[in-house]
Amino acid sequence: MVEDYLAKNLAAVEQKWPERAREITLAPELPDSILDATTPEPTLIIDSLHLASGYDQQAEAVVQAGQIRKNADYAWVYGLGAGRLPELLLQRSRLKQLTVVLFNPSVARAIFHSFDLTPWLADARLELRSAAQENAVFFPFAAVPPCLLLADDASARLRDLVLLEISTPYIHRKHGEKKQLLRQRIRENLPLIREDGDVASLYGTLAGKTVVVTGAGPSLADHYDWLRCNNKEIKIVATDASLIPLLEAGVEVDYVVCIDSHETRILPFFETERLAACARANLIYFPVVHPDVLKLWPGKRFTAYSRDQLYDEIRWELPRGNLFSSGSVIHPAVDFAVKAGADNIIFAGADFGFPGGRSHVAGSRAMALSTGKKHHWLLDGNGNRIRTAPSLRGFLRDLESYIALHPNVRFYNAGRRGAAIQGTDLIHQDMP
Amino acid sequence: MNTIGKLTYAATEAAHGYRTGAEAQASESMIQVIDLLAETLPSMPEKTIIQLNQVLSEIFSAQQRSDFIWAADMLEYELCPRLQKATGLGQKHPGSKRP
Repeated sequence: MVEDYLAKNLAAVEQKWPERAREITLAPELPDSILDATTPEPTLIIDSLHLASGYDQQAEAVVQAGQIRKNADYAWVYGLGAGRLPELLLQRSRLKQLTVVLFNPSVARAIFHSFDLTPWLADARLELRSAAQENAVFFPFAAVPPCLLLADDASARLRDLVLLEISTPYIHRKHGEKKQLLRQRIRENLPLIREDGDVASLYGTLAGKTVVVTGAGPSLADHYDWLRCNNKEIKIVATDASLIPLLEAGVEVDYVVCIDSHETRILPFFETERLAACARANLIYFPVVHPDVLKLWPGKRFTAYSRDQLYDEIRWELPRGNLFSSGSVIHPAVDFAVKAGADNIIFAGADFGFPGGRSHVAGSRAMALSTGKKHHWLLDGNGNRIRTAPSLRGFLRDLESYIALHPNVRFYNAGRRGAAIQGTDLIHQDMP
Repeated sequence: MNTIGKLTYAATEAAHGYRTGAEAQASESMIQVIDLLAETLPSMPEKTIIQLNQVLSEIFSAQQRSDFIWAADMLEYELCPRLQKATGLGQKHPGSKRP
């Protein structure tokens, strides 16, 4: 018979962290949790995910602990696994404090049942926290990936922030690989950049206004009636992928933002006879955008840069305003609205997920995304899980961090079907 | 480094990526693993090819359900030792009861 360590582990936790012990005690048992003893080393499988290696958990812990430099005084571990990672780190005599963060009390309960964690739970340097109460990622850290995937609803935001930090070096490397191509693109666009306006000349021009920033998520269509009715009172800053659906719905846009350097992905966003309706609208573009897009635009064009080194070569010769950029076009779009002076910013169709199992609003020329795996989810405005892609979750968390830095602007979400965006309220009936 | 050496390196990189949450990096290494296997498999005995295909199928299935620790186990403790054994570079590993 397999030994049950729950009571023993809980007793070790109770004295120092009564709240953690209470959460774990009250957490519902997971029906889909199996202690697999058929592998060389017994391991726990929850919801079809192995929590730790079934072959060599010590070797696995060594790989994971390698994320934390040897001379660290403080370290964080996100997720528990079979407990081997914190145990290994606490063998470092230099370490003064190790904070282990739990992402789901039910998962912790299953782990407590299956593994004897008492050899290290009593270590005075250990701190045990709940991800639901944490708002930021601390460094240096190591993570136990399946524990992140099994996060509960309250821990979803920290899960995404941790995953975002883990993927950042890879994203930077991929971006770096493209730089030569992007520099060439900037050189191609130089004659147009010289002719075009500076986005900074538009700063302050929307002071006191209500600005709607549109994404191309499926829920954009829910707001067409409202957008048409209020078209005169509001200003619309459209992301490129949302332009054609808006024009086809009879909504007039005031600004369109594009940043994507991918030629075949972005050109279809502008290839429409309806583009003539944008003669009075302004295009805000980054110099990496394909020149054909710029030439198609019937209205005025304004150039923007980001803080990326990529623009350092032309920054002095052709100074332009900087807009926040962190992977999604929604980031510079909202930063433009803020710098243009908007009082209220409403997101419409900024879904960051797949409500209704779709990746984009009907009519969008964006390439459909695979509508997600079971463990890739976030919460919608109603508190329900909707599927998403890891990149979209990262974009959402970066947007939320941006919003938190702008307390003087009021941010709203037009609907509840897309992602719940921290720092926004739902629009009310008397808006704008 | 010979092809088996490169394969073992790429498979270990993928496994370490999966164990640390660096899924995108791991997937990139997996592409290298698949490319190198396509080079190597034709010269292997049929029995080995069948065994390796079973392991690959287990890896893909684990990837599909986001069971990255199991995908890493399959890479490190099933794929690599079988490749090394097939080329006479066999080494001791914890051994398995599955797949």
